[in-house]
Amino acid sequence: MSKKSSSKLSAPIDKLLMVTPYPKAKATMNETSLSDLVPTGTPVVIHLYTG
Amino acid sequence: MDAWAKRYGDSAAFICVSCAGPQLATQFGNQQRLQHCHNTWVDQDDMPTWGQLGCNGFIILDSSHSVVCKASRAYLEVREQAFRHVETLLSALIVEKPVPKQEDGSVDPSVGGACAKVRFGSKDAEEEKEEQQVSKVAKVSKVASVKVAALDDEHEQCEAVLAKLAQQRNAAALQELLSVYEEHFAHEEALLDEHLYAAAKEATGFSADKGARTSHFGDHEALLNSVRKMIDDRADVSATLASVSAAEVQKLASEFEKHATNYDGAYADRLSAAMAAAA
Repeated sequence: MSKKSSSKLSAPIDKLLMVTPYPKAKATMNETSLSDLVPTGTPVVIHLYTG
Repeated sequence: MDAWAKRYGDSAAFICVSCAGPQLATQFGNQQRLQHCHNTWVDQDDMPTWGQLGCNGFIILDSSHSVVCKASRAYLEVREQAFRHVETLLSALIVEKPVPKQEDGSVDPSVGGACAKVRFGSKDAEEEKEEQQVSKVAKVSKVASVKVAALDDEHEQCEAVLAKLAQQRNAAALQELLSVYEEHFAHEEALLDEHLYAAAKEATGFSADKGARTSHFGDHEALLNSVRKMIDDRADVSATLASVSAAEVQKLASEFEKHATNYDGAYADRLSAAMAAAA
């Protein structure tokens, strides 16, 4: 993400902590990055939430 | 997001990011039953450097993970059209990939016009459920307590007027609902601004409280606009004669319940604690 040219805007988040899927949804301390979570070549939709 | 993730499979990724800690992330994952999209949270040190909450628009990255859309159309402003906007952008981004499998080959009426409303063969479960709900008398559910007595009373008033609307189904009851909503939302916003969002209003850059305030207050406006539009649509007919369909009442009741669950439930603990501390 940090190697992009200045004309391209990077995602507002990079370091993420994972939540396990429903029906056992639980926030974990398992850390990942956007690029590790989603391989290059795949478009991404990001939903920021606070409630 | 989860429905999209299921539908698009490997063609696109969908990431939900809690900006209010791990507890909310867990709660959100369970409430929204997130199985297919990525549900995540960010630590205080890694908060978004820019952006907005989802109901003010999603952020869309292309396949090289560069931002192609900082904010898709806001659900608060255009409701379902917001989802169509995201799908249109995604279609353009994944055009070189195999087309994702579409369930039932349905085309949204917003894209396909009147023709898209015609369906052959069996209805999907969601559609049948919707029709069953409409055929029943609109049901008004009791919303959860927000732990502030005055606001709980006002929520009960809203429910009572919605129940009256379900029974009378006329524009006079709609007008009454609008008055009750206007008074309640104004009071709730004043309390939130005084006790929770005083600093957030002035915040620059990303602020979770500022985002929550914008979304919550924006949803108030959307609820008011739904009622106002229904009243405007009946402007030429006497208020007691202008009828309101069961489906419209159900829509209003569902929107109110959804709002109470998604927004009011989120402030309950903090607001009641802040008000108790200030007393």
